[in-house]
Amino acid sequence: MTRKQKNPATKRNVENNRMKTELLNNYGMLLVLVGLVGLFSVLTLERKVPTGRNAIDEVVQEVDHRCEKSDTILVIGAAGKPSAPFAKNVGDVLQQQGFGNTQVVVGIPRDVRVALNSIRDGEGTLAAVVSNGDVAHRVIDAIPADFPEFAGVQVVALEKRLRSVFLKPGNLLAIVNRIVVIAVIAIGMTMVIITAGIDLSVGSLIALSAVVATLFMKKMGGLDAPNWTIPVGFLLGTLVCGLLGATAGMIIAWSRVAAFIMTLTFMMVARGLARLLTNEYSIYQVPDGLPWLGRGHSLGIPNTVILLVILYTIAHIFMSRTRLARYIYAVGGNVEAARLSGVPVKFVTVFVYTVSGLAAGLGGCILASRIGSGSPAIGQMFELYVIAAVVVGGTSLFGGSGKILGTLIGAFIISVIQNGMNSLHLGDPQQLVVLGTVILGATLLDKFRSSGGLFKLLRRVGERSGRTKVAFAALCVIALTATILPFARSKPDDSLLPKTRGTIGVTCSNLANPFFKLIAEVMEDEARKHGYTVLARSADQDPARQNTQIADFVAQECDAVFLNPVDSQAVGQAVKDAHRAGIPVFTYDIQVSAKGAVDLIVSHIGSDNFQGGRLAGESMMKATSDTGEIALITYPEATSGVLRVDGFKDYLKEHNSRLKIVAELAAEGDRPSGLNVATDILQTHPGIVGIFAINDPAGLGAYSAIASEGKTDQITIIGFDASPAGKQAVFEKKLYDTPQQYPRKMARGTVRAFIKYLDGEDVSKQTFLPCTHYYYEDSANDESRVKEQW
Amino acid sequence: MQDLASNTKSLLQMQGIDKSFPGVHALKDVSLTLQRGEALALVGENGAGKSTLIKVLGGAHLPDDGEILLDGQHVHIATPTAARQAGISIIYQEFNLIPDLTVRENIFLGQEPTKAGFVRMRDERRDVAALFEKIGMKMDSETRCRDLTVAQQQKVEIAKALSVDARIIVMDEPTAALTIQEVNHLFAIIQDLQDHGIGIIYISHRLDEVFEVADRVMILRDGEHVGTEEIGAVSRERLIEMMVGRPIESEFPKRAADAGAVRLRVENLCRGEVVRNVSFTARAGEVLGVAGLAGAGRTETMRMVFGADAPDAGRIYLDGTETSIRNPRDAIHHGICLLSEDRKNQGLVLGHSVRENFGLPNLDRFLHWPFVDRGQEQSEFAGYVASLKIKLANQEQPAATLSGGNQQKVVLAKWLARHANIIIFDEPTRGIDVGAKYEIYLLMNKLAAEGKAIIMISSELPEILGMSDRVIVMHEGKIKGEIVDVANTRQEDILSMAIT
Repeated sequence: MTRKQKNPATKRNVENNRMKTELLNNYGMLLVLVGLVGLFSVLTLERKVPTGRNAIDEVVQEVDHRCEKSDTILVIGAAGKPSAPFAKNVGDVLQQQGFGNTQVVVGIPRDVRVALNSIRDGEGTLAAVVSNGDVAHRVIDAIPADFPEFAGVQVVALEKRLRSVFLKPGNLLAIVNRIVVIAVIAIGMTMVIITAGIDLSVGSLIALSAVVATLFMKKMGGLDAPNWTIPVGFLLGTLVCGLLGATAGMIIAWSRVAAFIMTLTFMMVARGLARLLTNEYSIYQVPDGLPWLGRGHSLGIPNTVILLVILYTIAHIFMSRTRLARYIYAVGGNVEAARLSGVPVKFVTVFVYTVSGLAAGLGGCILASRIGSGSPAIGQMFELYVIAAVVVGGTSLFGGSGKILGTLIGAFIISVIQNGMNSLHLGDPQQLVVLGTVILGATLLDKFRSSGGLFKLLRRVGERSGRTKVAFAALCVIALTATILPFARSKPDDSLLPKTRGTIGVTCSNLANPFFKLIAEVMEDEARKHGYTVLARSADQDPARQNTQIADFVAQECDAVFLNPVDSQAVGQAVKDAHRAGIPVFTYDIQVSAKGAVDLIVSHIGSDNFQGGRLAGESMMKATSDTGEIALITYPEATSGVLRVDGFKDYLKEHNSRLKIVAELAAEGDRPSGLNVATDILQTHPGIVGIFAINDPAGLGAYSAIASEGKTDQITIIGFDASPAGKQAVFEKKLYDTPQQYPRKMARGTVRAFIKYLDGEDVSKQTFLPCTHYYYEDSANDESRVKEQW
Repeated sequence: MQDLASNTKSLLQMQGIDKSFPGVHALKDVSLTLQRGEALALVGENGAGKSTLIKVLGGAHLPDDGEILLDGQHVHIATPTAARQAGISIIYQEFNLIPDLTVRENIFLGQEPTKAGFVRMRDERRDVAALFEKIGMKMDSETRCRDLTVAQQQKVEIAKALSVDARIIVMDEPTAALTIQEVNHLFAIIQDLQDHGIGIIYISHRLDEVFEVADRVMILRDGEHVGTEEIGAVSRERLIEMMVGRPIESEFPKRAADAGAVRLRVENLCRGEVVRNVSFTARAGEVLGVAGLAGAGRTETMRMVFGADAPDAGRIYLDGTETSIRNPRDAIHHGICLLSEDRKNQGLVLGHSVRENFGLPNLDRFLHWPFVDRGQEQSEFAGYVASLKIKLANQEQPAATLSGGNQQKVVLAKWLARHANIIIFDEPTRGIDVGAKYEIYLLMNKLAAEGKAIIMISSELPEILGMSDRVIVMHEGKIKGEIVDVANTRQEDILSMAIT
């Protein structure tokens, strides 16, 4: 009935809908990005007294403007507040600039009065009082009344400012830097996916490229290598990856092996090569110029930004205007039709995988430059983030369609979510949920887009049966809940505390390890007593990830960073950055050894792993009556593991032990790999009498292997750590000894060092907590074993 | 007419169906009535809206407006499953077989007889045997569909449609890939179905078949219902006129053949069992017809000439010189092009715009290094759109949204733009309507007159006889014979060569 009236309008509606649909298709993700930026900007609004490097400069400039060099200036900081180190820093800078009569007072209001009295008693004058606005105002306000002599005093104090942590220039740059490597690699990945392929090898190629580049610099002279070795090294690393990409492309093109499995094999090969080349250690013997690419500036603009703009401009023009790009789209759209139209399908295939390899290689160089060293462990899981960026950017995994600029938007969406949630102090688990939900949404959007646009989808939902509607609504609700849930959770935490004094960023090698989990928890409790909130992050054994986490802590202006380095060398740059931003860094468990960064660490506290290793050696000699063959299960990626082995050998050597070490194999420090390694050892050396494993999980894995061979009476196992499982194992006589560490002491010690530092007290540079034996006798009456505690 | 039909309790009534796609108003207020035991033919040019109408009936599209009544009852057909449950079975033009499943598995897909979750294969085998027996189909039901010829796949589709208890069976171009005997057998099946009270909707471009099968014929043009006629009350010419909207003098345009030098000479081309020692020539200025049954090796031979498949042995001479053609790229550079029989899978990138499809083999000409000159591409394509009368909303429209005839014209345009010397047409008018067919024939004649060698593979004997200057007939991979005097040859002559 209505159809006759509808007819003329329909055409316009159709046209209208089409335009809306296209807008949404092309810019929908941009809207999402803008929305996210807006959301995080609002959520991170806060009133805060500035304390950073800029604030110091601002105050100093103000003093310089108002006072003479000879004037007496009093800088005030409140004890235990961020204004304490701020005051010290301001004092130092003023002294350097020639304000010789600068005094710094850090303490309670009474201390300020004392200082003012002493200035007055010394017949001095007071030209200015400087603070960052975080100190007792009443004392300062009362100066004209209480000290008439100082009536003309200038008060230089910073105002509390309302601002969005997320929108700070430093944080925006952190967003770019977080994503630059992924964004660069995503250019190649976009091309590969448009041809309906996939490249899983990029994460490993990052490591290979970084390793090749830095290895070249090391061979050319290491620290003293001329600066030209840097671009040449980068070129070399990139080319090696390009070559691998080309090889993968050729095999895919000619043998028609599925790209998924082909690149999966290359992922393994490249990672293996990177580890072989470096012997599992990161390479830090590089020239000083290395960080230029990833951290430097040109004409005041960060090089990473310039690089992204250049690469994406080239890629965009290439993909939208060249013949080869048309061929890439055609191959993905319909490979047979493309071939029959004269498209050189094989060449196109080889080309895209080569570009992907080159892009991954370049990405590796950027990452090496960012962390100032080459590590074989970097880039893990990157392939998945790269693919996610491409898909969120609107490229179809079925091939044939996609836009380069969409990929850039996709990369930024991922970065903004991660960074924004960091700014909101939300942890990895919440981030994973939100990120996964966003990628799911983008993929669904892509799916419905290919069937004719979002509007059609909505209309279709309207037309469909009740069941479909319910399902759709349920999906929406789940997505929303998943997004909101983490936000909802974060609020009560904050409100529990009347007012937190600040935040401490904690990053450790792996939070899944109960040892580090416990430390993080104890730190959190201890810090809360002093009014600080702890943000605990797990680097998951990836040095690059740890660098990003520290960069986030810096961008969010944490009050301190507690660091357990994944890689003692690779973390150097990040430590320097934190120091430059005025954020103190404390290490625990493992020390930093990077050149120029060691001295910047305020304090280190850790177990004496070398001494603990000696204890293990002692026990081994005792248990085996110092005769027979023994094996070691090591963990060379961790410095602590290396030290334990060194200490073990040292003790044996010192006592002229007759024990013979017949096998020394690396495991991952967990049960499965301990089991595998021990099984292999037992095959080649069935007669061994003892195994020293560098931690309890590896030792217990070894026990399983020995038990299944029925050799538990023949072989003594010594673990390390006295973890709850290890203590129980000692009690059950599975382990002979497990030298005990004291993670709680370590955690409390670190927090206390920070508090001392705030109070301006001297903090000892390094503290080593000695390990102790843990034998059956110790376990029998040990309450902590029964309670399954450390 | 509508009102008249709706008074009785018809098997099926579709009333006032309206459907739009972005840029296309595909159906405008179309109504259809089908009685029990009736065969209704649906004819119209490509893009007239036949397929859309059927997809609405089959639940693949939802109409913007209009209603569907079965036995006078309103029904809401939102999904293909709903259609099947309502007793509507549709054999689509595009095959919906899963290549790696067997014939039997495909026939029972989605309706497997099960017991406790396990498929009762014995029942399936029995039912398939009975079904094949009933419709006179001889085929090993355990063959994987991947290994079937197009014609065999077509038969499997028909068997699948008949395997459910349908009250309405829609056949969209069911005979496009069938041989004459198979077609006759299909007609017998259709008659049998009609006798059981099943309503048939039959879509075909072959008007001979329409006159043989249908009781009534419904004509669509540009999405509009032009009329429905009793088959006895309408002439062939009148039908074509209604479809095209103007009178047509002859189905095959005449042309004075003037064969020149040998452009292409193929010697002893071999590929496995499919092509065995094939030799032939094609001359400038002539149309060489290649006749034979489906599976005779015609397509395979031409694919080797085009470099799409590698021959085991044989030589190819172009303008007298032996030439190595290793891939389609070589062939295109040597001035050969091929219009594939399978437009959708081999001729077009369906998801990409028609302009990009047009440009794909021609980018070397539009290349102003390093960029493709899109303006040149657009203007050249616009020329072909006008001269070939391609119906487009705009050049950026995805190729998938065009009707079959217009898709074929886009493929034609992309090859014409290469100005090739040897043009191979593989079933150039399959699934294409009368009006567009005539235009393609005219074009073939024009190209031949320009001195190009035209090779035309066709399963339609009238087309072979009407268009070719010379015909070669293939059978089981070999050249069975050559016909030079085409004017005095009957269809039966070619058929007997092609069969034995």
